Amino acid sequence: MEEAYHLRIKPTIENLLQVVVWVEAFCEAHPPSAEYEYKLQLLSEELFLNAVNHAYGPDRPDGDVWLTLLPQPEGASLIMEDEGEPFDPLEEAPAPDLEASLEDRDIGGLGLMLVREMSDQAAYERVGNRNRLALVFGPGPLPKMSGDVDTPKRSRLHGIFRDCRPRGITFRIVAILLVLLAVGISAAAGLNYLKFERILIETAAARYDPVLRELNRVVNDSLRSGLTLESTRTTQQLLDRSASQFGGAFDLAVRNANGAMLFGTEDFEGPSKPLPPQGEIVPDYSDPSRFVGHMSIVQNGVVVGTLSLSHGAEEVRETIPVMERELRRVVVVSLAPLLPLLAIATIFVLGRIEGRFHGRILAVTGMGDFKSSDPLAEAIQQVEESINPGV
Amino acid sequence: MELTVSKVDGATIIEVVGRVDGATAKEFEEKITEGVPDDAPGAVVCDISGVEYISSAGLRAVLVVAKRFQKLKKPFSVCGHAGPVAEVFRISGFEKIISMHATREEALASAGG
Repeated sequence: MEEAYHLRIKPTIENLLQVVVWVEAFCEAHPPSAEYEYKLQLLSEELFLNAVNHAYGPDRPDGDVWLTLLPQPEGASLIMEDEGEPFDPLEEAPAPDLEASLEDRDIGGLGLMLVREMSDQAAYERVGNRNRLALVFGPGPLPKMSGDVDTPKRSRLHGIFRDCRPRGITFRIVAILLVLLAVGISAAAGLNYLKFERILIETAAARYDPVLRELNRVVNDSLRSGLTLESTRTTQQLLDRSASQFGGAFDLAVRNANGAMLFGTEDFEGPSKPLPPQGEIVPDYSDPSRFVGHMSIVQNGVVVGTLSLSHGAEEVRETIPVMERELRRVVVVSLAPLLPLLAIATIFVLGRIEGRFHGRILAVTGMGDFKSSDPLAEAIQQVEESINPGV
Repeated sequence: MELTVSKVDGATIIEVVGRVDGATAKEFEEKITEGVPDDAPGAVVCDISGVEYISSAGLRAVLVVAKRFQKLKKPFSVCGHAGPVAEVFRISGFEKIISMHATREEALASAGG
């Protein structure tokens, strides 16, 4: 198979000679095209000059055009591409009035008329952001319109992004996705944090539980001899000694079954509680500045009072807001780079899908003799034609 | 592109050789405007038998020139068109608006008669 000729060039009048030389070289290398050399020269020039004058507005002076010459067994095919506004030269170009007299005859429109008249087959399509016109000289065939031209390697990356045309639907889906993701991650982080905070508080509150149990056991034992709780004077000494052993880290209190204070360290702070179940420590968080645990005092299987241990909660409570701030920072820092990356990736993937669908819609709504290799578009087009046979 | 203007039997002959395309059309127009002044006597014949290639840019230049001579009421004709160049003239409908002849002699005879 002979090689296709590719020319990527800026559409300026100064570059016309380069196009001429390029076509000459192709015709010399491919003898079956020699018969059509005049037409190849002429239509290359017409398309190139049309691009010079019309393809790109003043806001894109550096746009390129792509010319391709494909060898064919009995002729050649010329493909012209540009990235200007969508324009179908086969359908949209105004035809000059060939019947007008010399003085009325308009000067424009001749070039594209020659393009239409002097090619044996012609097809236009909009591929991504490109206008693509294929002309055949000789018996053909017409090159397949999407993707069978072996484009040079350097434009492959460009090709990947060419179909990516994100529109309303893509942006809506991406926005919803991002909101869901941000809310989801924040909620998961928040719930885990609440769980962590509860465990932290419970652990801190249970710090002196072994002491409370041991004291409870001693008090219960002292009641075995039959003395009442109120008359066991050693209980006060027991409480004082225990508190001073721990340097006053906690306060202790013994109440009778009615909740009246019987013994206690001097500055006991902390509420009372209804009688807890036997042998269990009931934590009490009703005072935010103190952690309090209650245990029942049992004599002969009957609950006769409660023993309470209270210690300061400030240290733990103060660290909680600090941890909350830290958590928020971690969530933001980890989400900040993730969300834009995800947005770009999603826009890229969905944009390609949407771009293709948009191409199909264009094919279906029918810009002239669009030759498509897309079976869906062809099928829809056939259905459309059967519904509106006149169109 | 080469363009020469000469006087033959009271008529002006413009002889063009080479390519009349987007790169040379302007020059074609200017050289004829300079070479054939408004008050030049007689008919004007443009001999394009040496033109191997003409594009729509060249045709536009021919049209501009033809319109000027029509305004000046000066007989203007083109001769010597052949092959693909003739086909381009035909497809563009120029045969209907510009007097065209196979040879220079026919053109001169037609302008004189």
